[in-house]
Amino acid sequence: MRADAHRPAADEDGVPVCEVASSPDTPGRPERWRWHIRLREESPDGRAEVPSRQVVHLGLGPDTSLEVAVDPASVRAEVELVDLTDTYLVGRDERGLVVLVQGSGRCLVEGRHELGRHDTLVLEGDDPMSVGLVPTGTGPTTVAVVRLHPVEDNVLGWVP
Amino acid sequence: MYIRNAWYVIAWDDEITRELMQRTVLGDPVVLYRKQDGTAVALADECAHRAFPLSAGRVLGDDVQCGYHGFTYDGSGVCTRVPAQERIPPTARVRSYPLVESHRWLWIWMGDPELAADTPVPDTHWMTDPAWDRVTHTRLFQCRSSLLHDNLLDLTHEAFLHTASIGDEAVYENGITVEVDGATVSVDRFMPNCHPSPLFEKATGEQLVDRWHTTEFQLPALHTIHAGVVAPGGRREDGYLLEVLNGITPATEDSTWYFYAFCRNFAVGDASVNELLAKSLGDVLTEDDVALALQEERLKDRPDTRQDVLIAQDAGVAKARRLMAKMLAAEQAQQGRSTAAQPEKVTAGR
Repeated sequence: MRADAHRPAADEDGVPVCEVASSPDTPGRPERWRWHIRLREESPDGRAEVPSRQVVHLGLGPDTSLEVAVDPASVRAEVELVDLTDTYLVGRDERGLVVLVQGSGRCLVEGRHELGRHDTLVLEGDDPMSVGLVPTGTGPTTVAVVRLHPVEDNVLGWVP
Repeated sequence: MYIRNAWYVIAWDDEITRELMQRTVLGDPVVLYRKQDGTAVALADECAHRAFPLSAGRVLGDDVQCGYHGFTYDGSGVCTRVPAQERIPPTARVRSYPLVESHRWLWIWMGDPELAADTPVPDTHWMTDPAWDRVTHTRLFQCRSSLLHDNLLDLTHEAFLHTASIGDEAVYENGITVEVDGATVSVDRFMPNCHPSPLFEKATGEQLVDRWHTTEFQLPALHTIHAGVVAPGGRREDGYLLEVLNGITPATEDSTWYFYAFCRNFAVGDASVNELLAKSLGDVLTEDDVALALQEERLKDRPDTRQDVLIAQDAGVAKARRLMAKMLAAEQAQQGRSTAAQPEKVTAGR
């Protein structure tokens, strides 16, 4: 998903955010909320956390932070910021889902998807179990790697 | 609810003549005709006087005359004559819609006309490129437009609905890659080392191929399916290529215009291939038409609380729905801002 396809939204406090991906991902769906990944312009420090959500914030550049929120009863999240200097391999487990969000610089994923700032790639289901990330720019290149794991027998997905 | 600030196909170029033609688009009746210099005109199909359909009137020179009391409008919708009096009321005008004629299609803009000039119509050059040949169809489907979007973004239905022509198990056995960029959703499926579809085998004689189709949905009105086959391991650009254009234009909330062009870069000028494709693809559209009308019947009675169960192959469908909702929300917010910016009406005291 290119950065220009992300969805403007508002958080629980009415603060504008940019929704990168979520489950469910389409407005008006009846499924229970499981997780979301959002970009925020301001620092999230001091914000009241929503009960029953595990929220992780990660700086993704000077003015942006990445917010990963999950329903801890069904999803467990791991988030890391990778400084890409060489080829980096990202793997996932069969039932898990990986979301890559580009911070600074550009990188090529799987040899065919070039990501620019805030472009996002979601891997799930039949998608490759591991992909290589290669920096393509000259400056610093950072990529947020979000791994979502199902808790117990829950099934994780990006559709809908 | 329709996305109005977008180009929609309203007709083929040869459908618009010096005779008046009526077509309903996004719930609004539109009358179309050509001026003497060939320029196409689109006006709201409703006389400002008594709401008589202008399409039931006549063309006079470059103008259209209402068939009820003779109010006459020029191509911009301005009333130029009221036969029963000298004075023309300033409110006697009908809405005119921007039109663009490009590669055999007429595109109409039903929203804010000021936004139309900055938005190019999508590229459909395969319809006039001499290196390509094509067969075309036009249908009015009895279903909401979203069912056609779903149909074109999830082509696994080909394996069950179109078994005699374009579908087989290779379609659902291979996964998809979905890309979302701005207002475009692309769903790519690569089917390596398999049999071509029955129709493709008839048209090309190939037996074992690498096959692909990529539905590129330029929201909200055009799906271009880039498809083809090539010898296993070959490059896509060296294969038999197809560009299948699907102009999807809501007529009403439960009927949709479908403008279809199946363009190919092989057997160009071969009348027998054209005949085969025109018949077979017409049958494919009929199969879709029947299926989607059945689906529409069921959906009419389905409570809003019950929704589609979506699977991984629906990733393109889901992302397109998300983008459609985003575009609609943005347009409504824009309309809200425009309404709020209107000057307050001042009532003069007496």
